Formats: sequence, structure tokens, C-alpha cells
Amino acid sequence: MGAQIRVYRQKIASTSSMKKIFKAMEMIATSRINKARKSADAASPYADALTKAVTAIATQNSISHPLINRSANSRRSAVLVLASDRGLAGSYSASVLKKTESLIEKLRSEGREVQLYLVGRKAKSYFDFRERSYERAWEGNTDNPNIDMAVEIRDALLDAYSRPYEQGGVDDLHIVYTEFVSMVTQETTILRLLPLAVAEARDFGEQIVPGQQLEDDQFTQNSAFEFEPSPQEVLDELLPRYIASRLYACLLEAAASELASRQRAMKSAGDNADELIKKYKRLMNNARQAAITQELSEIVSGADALAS
Amino acid sequence: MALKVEVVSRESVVWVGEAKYVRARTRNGDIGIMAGHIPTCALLAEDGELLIQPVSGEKVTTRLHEGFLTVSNDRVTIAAKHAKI
Repeated sequence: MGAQIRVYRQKIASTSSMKKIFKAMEMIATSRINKARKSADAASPYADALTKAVTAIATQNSISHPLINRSANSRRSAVLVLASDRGLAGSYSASVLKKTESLIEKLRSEGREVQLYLVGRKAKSYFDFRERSYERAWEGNTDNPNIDMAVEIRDALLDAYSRPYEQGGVDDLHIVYTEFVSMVTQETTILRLLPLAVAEARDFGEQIVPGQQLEDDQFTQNSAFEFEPSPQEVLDELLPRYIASRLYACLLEAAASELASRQRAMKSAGDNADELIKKYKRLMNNARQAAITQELSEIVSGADALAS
Repeated sequence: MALKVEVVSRESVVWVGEAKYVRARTRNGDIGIMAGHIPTCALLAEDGELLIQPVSGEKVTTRLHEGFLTVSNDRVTIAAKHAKI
């Protein structure tokens, strides 16, 4: 009987120490979400400025650039998967990978080859385990991405994009990432990054200066825009930066989503630990009570035997 | 009428305010911007100087790395990889 009580006591002790770990991880995730969202906010003025400039150029119809227009006939697609480095984030990586699988399926059914670019250890180990090939993988810092990482990914992707099909080049690029809608909702999303779909002039006017008629008018007659040194050169310079800033935005959003799912997973793990502790306490008390009852009945029956 | 100027780097907003005059170095040479400038989009020189004359107060100068500038409707946006004031 005493042994049973000891077992329960050990279980309670180990569960409460796990609970402390869950609690700590939850708090770390919470504070990091704020950090990720802050860097997303800090990066957005630069992204807005880039969008503004690129849109101004792109609305001049005479301009063509391989990053914007490509032949509709695509034979090979690149898929960039943004998953997490570490687990304990609920279904975060699993749902990204599931979405990736369905995208691959869809692209293949359209007769395209698929080239994979992976971000995050979980994505890498998923494809490693299944012995499926991928082009490149990046690891580390998925919960705290920096702009250099985005630039590195962009360089690899643009390199593949600029090569012709015969040399292993790709015709378009899709990103599978998790959009941070709110603290409780994150949505796995597929975004086609290349060829670029630059926002329309009208959207742009609304985006930058809401409700300003004058700004809108200026963009409908965008021949008024003057470029230095030339529209083509400005475009050549700015488009790669635009892509890097879009990628960075995706990375930050994915990081915030990862942390939010981790926070939620850790919260429910902590709650479960609480319940387990409660259950073990009850069982331990039962066992102690049973031991006392047994001892008492032994004494009583012993006394009875002596008396008779 | 004053220019609304915004200087941003990749990491943060560096300077925001109203200005009488902005001078920046583009690839072709210096460009001076005052209110009523036509819409412009220009690439800035590597490590070029930027000078802002605010409506009130001292001149502000900074060096920009890999920057570009857009002007439209008296709003001047200068974005650069690195910028510090």
C-alpha cells in the first residue's frame, strides 16, 4: 500500500515540474510574438515605399520585365515551404506540410514539375524521412527571422527563376506559409510570388493615402511619373528588393504564427498537466485511505481473535 | 506648402516631418525637390548624401546606402537599406 502512495507522489512531482516547463514555454512564446509583430510593423514602411515605387512603374504598360510577365505555359514550379525549426507548436508544421502536399499534387496534375525549397528543420526532416528530393533547405531562426535570411532565400529563388527550363530553371514560384490573422487564428496560405502580380494603380492609391482623390487621379495618368536613370533600370534595381521585402514579410508572419501556435499548444499542455495532478492527488488519497482502513480492520480482527 | 518627407530604412522609420527642401544625390547627379515637384522615382547614388531642410529647425543630413526616392503629390519617400540620422 505504501508503495502505491509513493508511486503517485512521484507522478505528481514529475507532472508539476513538466507543468512549470510548459508555463515557461508559453510565456516565452507570448513575449516573442510581440517581438515578431513589432519587427513586422517596423519593416512595413520600407515595404510600402517599395510597393509604391514598383506599382508606379508597373502601371506604365509599356514596361515589361521577366519578373512580372512570363509565358503562361509553365512547365516547372518552385514551392517555398515555411515550416518551423522546433516542434511543440501544435499542428503548425503539420498543416503547412499538408497544404504543401496538396499544392504539389495540384501542380503535378497540371503537368508541371515541382522543385522544393524548404525553410525549417521540421520541413527538412519530413522530406528527408520520406527520401524525397528538394532543391535547398534553410534551418535555424524560423521563430526570429532576419532580413539577411530573406535576401539569401531570394537570391536562391531568383537564380532558379532566371535560368531557362532546360538548365533546371523554374517558371513560377509559390510560397506555402501561415498567415497570422490574430492570436487565435492562423491560416495556412498559398501565395504565388513570381511572376509578380503587382497591385493595381487603384488599390495602390487606396493603400497609401486612403480617400485622397488627388492621389488617385495622379496614378490614372501615370505618364506623369518621371524615372531616373530610366524606368527599366529603376525596375531592375527595385524588383529584387521588392521580392526580398515580400519574402521577409512572409517569414515574419510565419514566425508570429509559429509562436502563436506554440503558445496555444503550451497553454493546453499546462491545463492538461493541471488535470493530471488533480487526478493523481485523488488516487493518492484513495490509496492512503485504503491503507488506513486495512490497518484498522487488521487491528480490529486481531483484537476480536484474542477476545474470543 | 510644405513637403511631407519620410525617410525609411529596412528596419525602421528614420525621419518623418515637413520640409521646405530636400536634396539627394541620384545616379545622375544631385536632385533638389521643393513643393510642386512632378512625380518622380529615382535611384540614389551609392553612399550619397541626403539633405533635408525642415520647415522649422536645423538642416538634417544623412548618408544613404542603396536608396531610392519617390515623389508624388508633395510626398517624398526616401527608402534605403541603411540610413541613420
